[in-house]
Amino acid sequence: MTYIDVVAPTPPPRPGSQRGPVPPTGTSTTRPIGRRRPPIKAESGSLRNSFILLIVVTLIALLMTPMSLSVGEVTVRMWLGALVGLFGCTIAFGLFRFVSDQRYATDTFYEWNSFISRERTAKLATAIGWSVGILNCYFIAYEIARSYQ
Amino acid sequence: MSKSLITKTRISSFVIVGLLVSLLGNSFARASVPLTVVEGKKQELCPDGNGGQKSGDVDVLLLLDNSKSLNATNSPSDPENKRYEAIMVLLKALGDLTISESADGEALKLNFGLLSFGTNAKTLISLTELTTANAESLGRQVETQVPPILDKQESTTNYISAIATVLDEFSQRPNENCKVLVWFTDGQFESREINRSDPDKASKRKDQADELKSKVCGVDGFAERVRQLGINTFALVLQPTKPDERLKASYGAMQAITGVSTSMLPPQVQYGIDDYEDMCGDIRTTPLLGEVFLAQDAAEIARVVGLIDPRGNGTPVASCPSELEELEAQKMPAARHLKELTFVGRNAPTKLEDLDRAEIIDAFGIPHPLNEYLTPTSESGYRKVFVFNKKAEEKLDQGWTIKIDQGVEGWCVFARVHKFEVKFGGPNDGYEIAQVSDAGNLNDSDLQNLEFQRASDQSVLSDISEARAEAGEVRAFLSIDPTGLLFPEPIEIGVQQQSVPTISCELFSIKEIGDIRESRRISSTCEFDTSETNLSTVTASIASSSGLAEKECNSKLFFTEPNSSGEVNDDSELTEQIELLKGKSQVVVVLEAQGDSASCVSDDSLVEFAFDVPGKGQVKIDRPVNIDLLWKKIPSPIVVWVLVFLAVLAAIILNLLLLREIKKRTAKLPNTKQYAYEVAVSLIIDASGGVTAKQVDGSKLSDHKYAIEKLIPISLSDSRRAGKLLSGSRSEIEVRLPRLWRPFDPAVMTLKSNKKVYYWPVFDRGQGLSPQTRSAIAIHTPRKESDQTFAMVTLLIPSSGNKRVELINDLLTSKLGQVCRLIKDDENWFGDRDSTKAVGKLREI
Repeated sequence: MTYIDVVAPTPPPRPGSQRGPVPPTGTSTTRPIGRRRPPIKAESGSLRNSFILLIVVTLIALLMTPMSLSVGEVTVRMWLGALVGLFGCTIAFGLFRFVSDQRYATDTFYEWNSFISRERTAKLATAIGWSVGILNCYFIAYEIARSYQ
Repeated sequence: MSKSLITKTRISSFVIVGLLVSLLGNSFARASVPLTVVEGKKQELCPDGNGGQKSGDVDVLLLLDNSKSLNATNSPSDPENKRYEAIMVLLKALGDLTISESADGEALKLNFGLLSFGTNAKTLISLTELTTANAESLGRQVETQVPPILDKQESTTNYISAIATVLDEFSQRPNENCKVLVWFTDGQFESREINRSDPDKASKRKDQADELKSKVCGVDGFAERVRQLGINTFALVLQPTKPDERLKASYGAMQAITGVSTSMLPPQVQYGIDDYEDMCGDIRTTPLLGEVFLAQDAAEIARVVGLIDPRGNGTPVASCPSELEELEAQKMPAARHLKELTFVGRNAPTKLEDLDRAEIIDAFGIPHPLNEYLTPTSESGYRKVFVFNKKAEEKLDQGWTIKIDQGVEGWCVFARVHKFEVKFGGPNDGYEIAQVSDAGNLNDSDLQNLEFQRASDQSVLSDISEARAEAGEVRAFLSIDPTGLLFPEPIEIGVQQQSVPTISCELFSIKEIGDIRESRRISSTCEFDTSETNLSTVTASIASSSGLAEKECNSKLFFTEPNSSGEVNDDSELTEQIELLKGKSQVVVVLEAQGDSASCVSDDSLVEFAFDVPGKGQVKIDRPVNIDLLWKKIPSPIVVWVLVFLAVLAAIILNLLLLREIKKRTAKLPNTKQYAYEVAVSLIIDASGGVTAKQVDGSKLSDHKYAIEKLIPISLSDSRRAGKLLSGSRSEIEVRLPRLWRPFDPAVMTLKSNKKVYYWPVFDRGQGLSPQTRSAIAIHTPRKESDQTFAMVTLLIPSSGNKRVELINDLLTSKLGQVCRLIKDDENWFGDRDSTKAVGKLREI
């Protein structure tokens, strides 16, 4: 049995990731090797849910954030904004990554058809959540420093 | 004082004056005097809770019903979406108020916001400045934000959530801002849907009605909080199509919140309110803070909104809405006393075009067209505002009236009076009293008919001579309506006295909440004028309240001098007494905090002005200083940033540990049984550079015969992150977690070997396998002998599945071929080879 021009199928790169499968060196292929769209498959409930959870957590962190420093005291909303932003987003993003890793491993990852990939959006949402968390940390630190000076 | 503060002060003064002028008619800005007298209750606009009036911007919130009943398929209340046209009319009318075209200068600074409610309430447009320029775009924004789409409308009409949101929104606004709520609803309160077939629907409706009542009337309920915040509420109600018990409670809530007496409610509301009248107690004892308008259909709302004016509408000159088919107003005061006339076509089918038939009938009974005496200044929907021209001031004496022949019923017409100010003349009685304000016209007769009283005790002064001779402040009044029907009370006229300085403010107000200023100073300025008096130097001194010396406040009051441009510098000199020379000057009162923070509430500090009046000795007048200040200390930025740094560092460490823990718990080998299957292979690089793989006995891999006894069980550790093949090569596999500082890298499953192991499927740049993989190849343990390399192929296969033979065959041929393409360049496996590489091919012999 002879195989001619066998092409190793490269698994889909992580959307938005600079990293990806190592293309075989010194080989020619019948189609280009490198970044290409992952296969479009049926939407996975758990993947979608974990993504939505991340977005919701980020929005909650945003909504908890006061608009200015004129509040004058540490509020429950500030604490919630800090905790949800810094930790809630981390947990939600970790969950999303776990689910997407599972999808990749079983070749059932679903990517949406948009200029920005799902994973990049998730990273952006997480970064926003962290920023909001740090902002709330600043508000809390400001009020605490004011109280004890 | 900073430039912005000066500007703010000026704007505030301007707004105060503008508001008061419109509210008080001709009265000079002294205190809040109600606009409309309703059965003994006076409507209070922008009340500050101390009998005065708020002086800041006007915040208008539109609370818009977004329940499904508006566009329901079955008997919708607004099928043609006329409400948006009405809202556009409202916004344009409000926008027109921001233009100052008259000498009185009544322009307001208006902020507009939108909240929609159904099951829940939400802010859709935060309070933003409304002008004539952006009124239309805001109107379009309202339609975009609350579209007339059934799918986007909510099933219930929850007033509790709506009013709570409004109160939250208003409580975050500056205290000095005037707060106006325009509450549009098409129906009745409904906190939860009740099925028509529900046998308990009557009691459930009653429960909901009681729920609303308790929220509105309870301790610190909505009605009380609306009064505390001084919110003027205008409720626009579309007649609901399916009223029940909850409608009565809804009307009761509107009455309690607006404070409107039952007799002043629209007839349908009076009828519908039933036993919920005065539901929070006797309405006669609560202040009148708004009105309830009922619209038969949505198109009529545009007519109703014509009656909404944050300044108040003025004095109605006929019954509103007029009930006769021909509008005939009362005998009017002289046009020289009036500033503007507002016409609103309140009821259908009246329209502004009908004004073409309107006439002014002068005191001699001679008709004149409107445009002979009136000039339109603004027009929105069913509302048109006119001002009087010079000819009217000269010709229209008391007794003229307005008439619309062959008109239709339903007009509302309002008149607003001018703000006047007079001076007693020069330094002695030889000078005549004269008008000093630009707008309107007080003739000699008016000036002779002025009535005076002492400001201190309201005692009457007999004539102008006594008024001139009065050492203290005097107030002046003028009766402009001998009939007493329209203006039964005389209007107040501002007075510049000969022996009393003119002070532009009634009090010095120092209010702020926030971080302490860098200069620790806050100031309040009043204009002071002795140029038209017979006074020379006036001494101003401060009598500070003892409360300012308390620890929490620790502040002092001073005077300071503004610089040449009228601004107050942060480092300007402070004094406790100043000499005010003859002429115009500014009196700037400065509160300076002595510590890093200040919490001061005081209203018993005074600024005393002492001056010698010729022949009367020393006279003193004073102005109180109202202080409501909460300055918080500003922390050191270094301390703040150190705390932030520590908090973020802790958060990063905790996050990394958290992610590590998540990774540990999620990167486990499958719980279901998995087996290994091993085949020893030999690899040879052929002449073309491809890799040839075959079994060690030289046979083809495709000829490999699956033997079930060669299945190798895998023993997993307790943590399920490591395992060992129980026979065969006895290789060990383990799940390698990413490094702590690379928390988002995937965990990989690897097979332990001294040399590089190649895997299929490729995962994490070929570093291993996914821990979740179900079928895989690992080729490992290479041993080079002459021109060939021996290696072990370990297949991971699931315990279940019918096509195990096909799976193993596929892994050993196609999938192994893919792996071999990666191996052929590995020097550790094949040694150094010619760099000329052929096209990757696997040729199986």
